[in-house]
Amino acid sequence: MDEPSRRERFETTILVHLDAAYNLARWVLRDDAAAQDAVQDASLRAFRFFDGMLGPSPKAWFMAIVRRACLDGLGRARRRGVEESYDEDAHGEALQDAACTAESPESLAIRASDLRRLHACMEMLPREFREVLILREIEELSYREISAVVGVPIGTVMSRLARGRERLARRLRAPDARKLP
Amino acid sequence: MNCDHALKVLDAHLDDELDTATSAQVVQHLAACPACAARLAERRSLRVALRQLPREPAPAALRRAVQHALTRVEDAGRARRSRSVAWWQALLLAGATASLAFVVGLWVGAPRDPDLSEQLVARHVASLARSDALVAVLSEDRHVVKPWFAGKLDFAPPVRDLGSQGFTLIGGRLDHLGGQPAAALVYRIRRHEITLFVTRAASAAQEAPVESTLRGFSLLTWSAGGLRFAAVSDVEPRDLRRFGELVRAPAD
Repeated sequence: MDEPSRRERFETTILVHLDAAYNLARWVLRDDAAAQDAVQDASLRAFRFFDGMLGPSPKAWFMAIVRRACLDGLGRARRRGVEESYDEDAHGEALQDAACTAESPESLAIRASDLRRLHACMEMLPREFREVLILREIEELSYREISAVVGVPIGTVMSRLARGRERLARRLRAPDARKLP
Repeated sequence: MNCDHALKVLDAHLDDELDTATSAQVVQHLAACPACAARLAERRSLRVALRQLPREPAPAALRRAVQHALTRVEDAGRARRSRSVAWWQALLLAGATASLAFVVGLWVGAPRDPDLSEQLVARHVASLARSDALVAVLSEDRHVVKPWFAGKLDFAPPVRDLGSQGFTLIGGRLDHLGGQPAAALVYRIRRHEITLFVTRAASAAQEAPVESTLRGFSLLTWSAGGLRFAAVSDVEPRDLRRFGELVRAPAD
């Protein structure tokens, strides 16, 4: 019943990852308001089950709860009849998005400066690739931690990262670029 | 190492997740293969670009909302504890105004762990007091109730369909018992609710069922398969005994 210290422990081990949580939620849900709801929901869940926290990585533990809250949020939205926003898989690869297609046909290299375009391409990736890319590249989690967050084997993490990066690179390359092997 | 193999492990190499030997083979292949080396260079520039994506900090409003919500949870916890104290005080008073013999008479069996028995009854009664607190997942279908716990607990509580034996599954919720997270499964027989709490056992040892009663509530506890089970209800002890037998019966 040592509540102040429990709360303090929660703040120093879990709430320090609130920015990371919000970032992941925004990328999974692609909606700021829904992301805030999901992170608040996840923080409360985490606070309730904080005593039973598992594993060596509090961040991965929290991110798993955040991801779960996001998916619950998506499920609720779908049940309400709200269209889930655009998903590449659902609409086919052929569809072109003006914001994501390369404007300079000759450029093969990825233009690091064009973050807006990269952002648009990321948003078009199916969620399962988007989430592992964010966890790996932005949050710099290890494969083991990502595997714990997403709930898939490490081998699947590896192949999702490879496929996600490949899809992203393909979109970022100019449309007439020759296909790499 | 050929290109096919190199491309398969290229990302793990980039992420520093390969064992040293395989990584060395990749490096060796890259030195000899411009196509794969170009692929890795592309991956690296993709990483550089991704890491420049703005990482929006959690808005101040969200931080405030989280802090408020945590305070509410703490307050609710405190209020629940003081409410349950008031409840027991009222009950003790009622018991005292009846007769001492009556109160003693209710303690049929000596509970093995008085503290746990108190908690079991308190959690059971608290859940019945508020209809919205009884179950978080409302379903007679164990194939709905069981998966609901996935990802919420580090054990999988067995959920039995005992409808044909008269014990209708109402649903389940997350609870806690003795400071441990617990799965609470709610069954109903003839308008009486039975709460079956499942927690992690301290050891994998089997423990035979122990029956006790506390102020008119029947209690039954046992351990099996690394899990500790505790059933509580206001049904007759023999009904709870039958319930326990059915829960422990080998799965069909």
